[in-house]
Amino acid sequence: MAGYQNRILRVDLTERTFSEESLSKDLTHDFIGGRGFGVKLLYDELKPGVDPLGEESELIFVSGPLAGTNAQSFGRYKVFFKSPLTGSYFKSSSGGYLASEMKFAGLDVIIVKGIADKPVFLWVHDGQYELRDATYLWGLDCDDTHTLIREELSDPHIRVACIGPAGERGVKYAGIFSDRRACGRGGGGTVMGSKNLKAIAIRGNQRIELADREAFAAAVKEQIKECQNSPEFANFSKSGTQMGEFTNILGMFPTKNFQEGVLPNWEQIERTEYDKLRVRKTRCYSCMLHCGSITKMGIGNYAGAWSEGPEYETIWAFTGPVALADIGLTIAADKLCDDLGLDTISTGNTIGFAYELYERGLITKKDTGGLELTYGNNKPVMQLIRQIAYRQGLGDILAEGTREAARRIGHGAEQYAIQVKGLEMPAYDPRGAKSHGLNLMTSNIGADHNTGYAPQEIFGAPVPREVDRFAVEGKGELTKWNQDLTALFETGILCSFVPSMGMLSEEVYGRLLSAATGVADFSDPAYLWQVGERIFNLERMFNVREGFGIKDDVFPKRLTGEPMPAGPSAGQVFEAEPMLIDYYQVRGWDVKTGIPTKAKLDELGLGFTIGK
Amino acid sequence: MNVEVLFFGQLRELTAVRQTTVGMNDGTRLVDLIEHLGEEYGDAFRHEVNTIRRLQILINGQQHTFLGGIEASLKDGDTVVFLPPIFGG
Ligand code: SF4
Repeated sequence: MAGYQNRILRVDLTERTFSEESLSKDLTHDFIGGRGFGVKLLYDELKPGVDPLGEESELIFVSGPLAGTNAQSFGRYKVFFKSPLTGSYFKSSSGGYLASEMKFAGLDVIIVKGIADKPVFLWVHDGQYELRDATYLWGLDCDDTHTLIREELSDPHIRVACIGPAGERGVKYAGIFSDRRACGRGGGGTVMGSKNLKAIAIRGNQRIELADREAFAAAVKEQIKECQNSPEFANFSKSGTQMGEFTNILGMFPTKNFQEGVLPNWEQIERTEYDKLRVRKTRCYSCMLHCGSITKMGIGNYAGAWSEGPEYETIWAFTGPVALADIGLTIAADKLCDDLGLDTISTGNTIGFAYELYERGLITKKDTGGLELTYGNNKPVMQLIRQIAYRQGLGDILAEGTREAARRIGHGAEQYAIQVKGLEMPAYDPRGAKSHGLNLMTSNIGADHNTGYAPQEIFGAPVPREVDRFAVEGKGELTKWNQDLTALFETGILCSFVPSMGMLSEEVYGRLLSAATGVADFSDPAYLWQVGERIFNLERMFNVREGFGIKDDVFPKRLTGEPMPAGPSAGQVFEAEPMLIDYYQVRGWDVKTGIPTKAKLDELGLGFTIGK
Repeated sequence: MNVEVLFFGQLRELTAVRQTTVGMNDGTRLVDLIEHLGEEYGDAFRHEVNTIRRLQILINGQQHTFLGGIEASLKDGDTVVFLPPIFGG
């Protein structure tokens, strides 16, 4: 079938074997690709209760049917795994150039299982597969790993996805890094490290067939027009995701571990400040938005520090938790996390958790090795990042993530772990945006903003309708809408910024998909919505099989019981119960268990999950 | 009464002001404030406010559309933010 390369590569690291399979017609029709493939394969492949870091666990890399074409912003790949941080289904995605290179190498999917007896990297090039020794790469940071693999294979154009020291040492929120872009969340890098797989390296020259070239070219033209017509286009392609001022204006920039919603000196992290430090623009494969930046400090304590980014989440991660805006430290910390292979969101959130424990006397200088974790003092941050990555000192416990660290520390530390399902909360206080919060509460991977971002509440986006961010009514329906919309576009795999800004309609997306693949159903928006809903429900059923339910759709008490103390969201709490019931009803799930009903599963063609 | 006004994006470039305190009569509405700012910063400001698609005007962090639109009444100490469309995440 056109669009796809019709090939899944299976790699068994224990046996050092490779095999190939074709994509089945049912899989492509019912799940389209990308996130659809990932959840279906993970559901089918993993035994319930499997140890995420054991021999039987799998790491699945998936490209999309539109990757490698000239459709815009489809250059993303996703990795799927059972998360060592949450114990749930997990998806993590990244832009860059790996997804297109997978397609050029003739692959849609790579499934890795087993554990190599010593560090290896996987070398994929035009139908040939090889496991090469990575003993000499073990311990190296991500940038150096990229460089040395390209040198070893004498090709600077090879695409690499690798782990850093954090993944090797089993830090539970280690990511997978490709050209400084990260599948950061949930511990994909931890799973990769447990397999002794340092990297995958890919190079290919194969063509991607399109079912109807003319119709495809016309659809790409339409896509470009829609994108350019978006009101956000100019500012987003200039400054990217840097919007530190925005959530402060809304009073929901998590400060002091979600105790407050406004950072005292937030004017210092406005996007105009970052604009001054940008030395180069970057982008992913075939993306006219080119939202990325190389940012460099010219003066001050961090003169010479640079990073690709930092993204909004990272801008928050090293300022809000320690209650100090400091661009230099943020850039240096961003680069350090990229080098050592850490998710910046979980790292920053976990550091904020440690600061609060210190401020409250639950841990002392004895535990921190003399570091003073007091608000406004960000000097310990760089050291804490290193300690986490190398599991030294306090970092050894913090490397487990806030939920497990709190359990080990005890003395009531659990209430200060600001996480859902074990995944650390990102840079939005849910008390200031209720649908945005409801997504964080119900997302199948824990507190992930990108699973169902609510641009209606954060940016005033008018589609499907304008909403009052503080209102409770109607938020179940809106949350489902955002979640299913995200899932349907992530079959492609479209960058999630694009639909959030309304830059691609389902109609044009459908035309792109059907012209590429020749599958007529894909041109029907109603069908795409159904696939989005199917994906979301299958993810939920994976979790149900692992014992998840309503007890896991829960926030820390701070967010539901403590009104925001001051600022533009003052007095707000997150009204969990009515919104959750509303959401379950809209989803067709049992309101007492949070589990999809048989009728809903049958409607979505997911009857095979019943009773599993 | 005094109202704090913050400009972002192209409106900051146009006014060359990040934040300013504006003295207004009691009972002032948002539309009066915009008119006042138009007088201060000229036609270019009026033009931008009328033409920037999806310009957000926030009163104390809440979209003005949920507070009565441009008829929303202002009170002493309010903060009004003019924010051209940005996106992040
Ligand atoms: S919008 Fe940014 S992150 Fe998304 S694909 Fe384009 S360059 Fe990459």
